[in-house]
Amino acid sequence: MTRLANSPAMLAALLDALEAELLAAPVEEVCDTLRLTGRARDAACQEVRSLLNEASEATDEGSARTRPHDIRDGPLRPHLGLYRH
Amino acid sequence: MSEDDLLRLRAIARLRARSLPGGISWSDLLHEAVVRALAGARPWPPGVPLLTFLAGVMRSLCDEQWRRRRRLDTLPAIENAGGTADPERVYAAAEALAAIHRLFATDMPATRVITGLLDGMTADEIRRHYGLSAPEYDTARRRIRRTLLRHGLTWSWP
Repeated sequence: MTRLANSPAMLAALLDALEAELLAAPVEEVCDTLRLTGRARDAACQEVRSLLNEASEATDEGSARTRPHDIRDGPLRPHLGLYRH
Repeated sequence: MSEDDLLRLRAIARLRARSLPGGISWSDLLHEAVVRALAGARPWPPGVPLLTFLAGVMRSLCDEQWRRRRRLDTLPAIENAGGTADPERVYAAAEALAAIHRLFATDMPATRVITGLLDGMTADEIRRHYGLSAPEYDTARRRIRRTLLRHGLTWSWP
């Protein structure tokens, strides 16, 4: 019961630890995993790029939040280093 | 950002969003983090890698989301709960923990590492407690990372 009540704190600690693992994962390891996933990898990258572009545009316009809709958006803000490959 | 960083970012966003209230998706979370960063609402400390910075913004957004949820909740029992966690957050956290455990259900060494992390153990403590050699521990960690990355690419959380 106590363990259940503590679950938010336990989850927070675990997520921090898992996040650290993901941040520290060697590039080769990430690439190995990606090679296993082929087209899913490309789609995932495009989706994240699109999302970053949308966020950048939403900030530029000072507009309300918009959902990603087009994966062929323009370049991202260079000062954040978010660029296309 | 490199391709591998984009995918790390996605995996982290999915990990964080897994236990959020109100059906907030990983893309909502990441979008909001980038908007706040670009708008200057979250200053980017010099020397901190962008990926680490955005991960930190997402982490604080998750806390903020739960605080907002608690404020909006009008249940008297929750308002009077003081320092105790609200039931919805406890439930969501328990669900997320169960999902993480399911991810590694067939991998005993990984499950032991996860359990040790949950109990706040250090790497040495986990190795000693479960009798894992250093290579076994490192291999389990690598499998954990790979599983998280793979599940960051697909929607196949158990």
